[in-house]
Amino acid sequence: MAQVTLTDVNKVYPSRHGPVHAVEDLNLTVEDGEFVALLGPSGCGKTSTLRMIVGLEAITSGTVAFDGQPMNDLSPEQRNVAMAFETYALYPTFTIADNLGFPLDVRNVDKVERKRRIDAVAKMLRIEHLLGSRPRQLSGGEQQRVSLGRALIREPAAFILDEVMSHLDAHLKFQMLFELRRIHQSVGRTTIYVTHDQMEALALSDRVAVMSNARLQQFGTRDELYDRPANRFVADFIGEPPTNFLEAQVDGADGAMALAVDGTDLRFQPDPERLAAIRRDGLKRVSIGIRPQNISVHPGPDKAALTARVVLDEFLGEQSIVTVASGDAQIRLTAPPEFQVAPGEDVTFHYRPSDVMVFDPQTEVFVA
Amino acid sequence: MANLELIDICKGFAEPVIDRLSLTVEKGEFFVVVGPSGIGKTTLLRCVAGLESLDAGRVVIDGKDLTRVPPYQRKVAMTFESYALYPHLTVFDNIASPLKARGLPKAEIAQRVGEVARLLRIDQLLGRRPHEVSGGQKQRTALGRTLVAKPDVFLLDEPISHLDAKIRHELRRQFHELEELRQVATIYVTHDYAEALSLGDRVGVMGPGGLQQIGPPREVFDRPGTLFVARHLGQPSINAFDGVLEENGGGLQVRSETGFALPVAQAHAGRLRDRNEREITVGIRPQFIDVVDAGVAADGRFLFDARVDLHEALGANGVLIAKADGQSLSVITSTSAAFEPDEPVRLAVDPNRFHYFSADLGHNVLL
Amino acid sequence: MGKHNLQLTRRLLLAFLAVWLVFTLFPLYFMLVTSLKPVDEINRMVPTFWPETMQVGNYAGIFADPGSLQSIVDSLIVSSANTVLSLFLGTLAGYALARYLRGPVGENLAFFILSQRMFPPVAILIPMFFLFDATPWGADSHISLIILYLVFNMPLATWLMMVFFRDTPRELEEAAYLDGYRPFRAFFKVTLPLVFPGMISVAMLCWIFAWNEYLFANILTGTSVKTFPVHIPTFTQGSQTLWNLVMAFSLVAMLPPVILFIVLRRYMVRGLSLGVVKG
Repeated sequence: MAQVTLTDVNKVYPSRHGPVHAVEDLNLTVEDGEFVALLGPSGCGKTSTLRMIVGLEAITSGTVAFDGQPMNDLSPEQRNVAMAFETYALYPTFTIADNLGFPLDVRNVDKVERKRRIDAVAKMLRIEHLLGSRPRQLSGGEQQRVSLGRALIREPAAFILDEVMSHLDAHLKFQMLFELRRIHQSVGRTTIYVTHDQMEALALSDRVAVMSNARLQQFGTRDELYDRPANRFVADFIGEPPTNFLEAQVDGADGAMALAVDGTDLRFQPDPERLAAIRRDGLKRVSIGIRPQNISVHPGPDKAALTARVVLDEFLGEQSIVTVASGDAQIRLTAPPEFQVAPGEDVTFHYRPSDVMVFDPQTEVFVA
Repeated sequence: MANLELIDICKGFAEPVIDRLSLTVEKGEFFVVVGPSGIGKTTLLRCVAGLESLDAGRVVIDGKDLTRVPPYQRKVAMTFESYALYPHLTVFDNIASPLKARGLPKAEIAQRVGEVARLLRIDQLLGRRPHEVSGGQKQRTALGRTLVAKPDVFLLDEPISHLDAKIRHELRRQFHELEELRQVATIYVTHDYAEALSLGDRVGVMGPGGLQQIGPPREVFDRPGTLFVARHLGQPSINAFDGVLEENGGGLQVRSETGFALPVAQAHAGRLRDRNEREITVGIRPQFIDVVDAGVAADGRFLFDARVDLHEALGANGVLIAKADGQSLSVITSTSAAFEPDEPVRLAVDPNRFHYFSADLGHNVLL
Repeated sequence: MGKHNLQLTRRLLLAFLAVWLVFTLFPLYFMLVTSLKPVDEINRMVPTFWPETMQVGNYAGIFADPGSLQSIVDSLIVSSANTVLSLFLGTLAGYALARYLRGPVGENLAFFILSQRMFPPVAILIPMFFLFDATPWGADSHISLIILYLVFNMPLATWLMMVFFRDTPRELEEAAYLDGYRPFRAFFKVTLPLVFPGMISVAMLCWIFAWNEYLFANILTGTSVKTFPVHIPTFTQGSQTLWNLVMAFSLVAMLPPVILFIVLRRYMVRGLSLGVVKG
């Protein structure tokens, strides 16, 4: 069990085109027992970060500490972290039981204890019936569980899970999410989960660290990332269907200020909080972000309404996604599955002014 | 008229992957085959393309029997799940490949490739090689290679499954808007039910041996013909449990092995009584179970108590797993909801929304 | 501790590499030095590591013998023709094995083909001489060596090409069929470019084998055709071997393969790393 702290961590790789900054001034504290996801697109620095925590990669500058103890000069085995890999990395010639027991063999655990721990882990992961099989006889999901089991069996200071679900198909992934959540609830050990899939990250983690371009963009809970994204990148990266972004002109005098979207006659009404922030920063132009789930076809109290023409109505089973257009601007909104419109029809949609996210168009930083 | 007919096609002897499958895809129709991985969706496409020989049956395009015609004479274009772009050729040459095969003049090739590339917004990338472009761009290149050929039949194998969510939305949109795809017969294969429902004029759900149900998206989702279909469409999967039907003070109810009981709607009771079978499988979609406040009125719904097992906030909504009388149920919740493990919750269901499947074969007994 | 272990391992590896480098380069160096010495200096008991009398004229000396140049030409003809044939036949056979003969039959056949490289060549030396001597063109001809070397090079070429073809995804050819290419054109347009780096490697291996082969060349040929390995032992004066000429000629004979390697190296290094299917 450990608290993992990264202080001013940098990673610079030499390359033919000069040094490449893979991780820049990273500060992050993962509390003891916490489940944290490192989320970002490929090449954002999350894998380098993870490799530095595990000890597979030298730290250019800064400190990685477990429970306050600097780990920089310790080898991976001394750090006592367990890692599960994207590719499962099971030993093909070993049985499942031997695969699970392998980390114990290196540590000279006696036979009785070894068997007890293999059985306990197998039971937790529901793979007891597979202990005598070999990896190639198992399905992808089962192999993934064995790979997790091999990490779990060690009782390490922290678990590091690297893109462990990217090879599973959607239904299986969904089951594994719950499985993993359940395991974490019962084991309660510090876990760092690396992924590029925001759905996985949000579903599993207590907090999510969003990285991009070698820098930490935001570290927060699901609600913080959703409602108060640090910048446009986070707002764009988190959320499915993707957030709608519109460029707008701040229009009208103080009392009747509106955000007029470029190339359309759509005018968003900001609420007092956003109004105050726009005025405070003296913005003439803004980027508006609004999530499809926050736009509805149903009116409601304190909601404002806009009308636009339907381009596309996609029925997805549990919900529909309707795409509307006005001028050059396109907006996606979610609708209940019973709602049906044909392209070309006009639809009136409703939003809460407080759900409108405002960004500075130059710096892309969240304003309000 | 370029329609595609598959007549009684069979593939695989010992364990038939496709067993007497018949299907007609009309000109201009976008037909989506959806099913779990490894069920034989790709094999079906390969049979249509001629890359796989049939063990029985016929493939007919435009009234012409092409069963014995090799792939290079079929005028069928296909995208592969792996994209199968030629790594040594540029994006331009990849797209131009079908035109070069026909020996068209250079100027015409350049013009047609240019049109397709502009349409797919990859005209800036024509000089690059496949390993120098992103996943979404590779997919567009592969799509371009099929579009440029102006074939009679389009076959698309999991074209967007391996891409990130955001690019999937964008490309799905593109599939809706490409006129070229809406002028010929298209078969699109995917394991993602949302993609299938969004794109298909009709959807075919593939299970072991062939297509279990064919119909418009709303119909296959709202009126699943089998438990298999109901399970595959929807996430989380439909709540399905085995139970027995029993009379309960004038009404009919269904009771699970663990003792969890739900009333049967009046509208369904007659049909279920007529069957004279006590064993039944009930299916309830997670979005039709609501979490309600303690004091709320039934209002035609059935209310029952459960305990929280697990709750996860996913992207657009949350999923609650609750236990009622030993029966585990998935419930779709709003994003703002928060639950603690073991917390009691009150749930509401509308019995008119239930599906009933025969316990032995899994057929929907209400249809 | 682990980190220090890694450092130590690295240093040991570097030290080993240095020793190995000396071990491989020294013979070359000594050849060069010997080729520049007069004969009497070579035969001295304490060998010199740098010529006391520099005799660059040795290089002119070897070409005073008209047979020298002719032997290089003969070698070029034999090894190049053999390489072209081996590669052509090996590519076709390898493709057939990789695509159409998967399963036990193909596996066994492929192994059988490769196993032809396993018997001791000397066992068939004399039979081969009589066999080729009975042909209309006789044993002492380019064509007999070209064909004979196929016995050794074709199994290797077939096996390696089979492995390369197996590594190229079949889907690429299938995509080409659907584009409208007939199988033969699809093969040339799509598959062959992908195994091209492999073909270069195979060509190098075949060429070098044929270039340096001595045993068969010595028995079968020697009068009208004489490859350079057969020519080398003729640098004698009485019972004395002229080591300086032997070494000078050997160095000259090394030039073609070295030049070939330098020219083709970048194709070989690129290997099959085109990143074939997904990125």
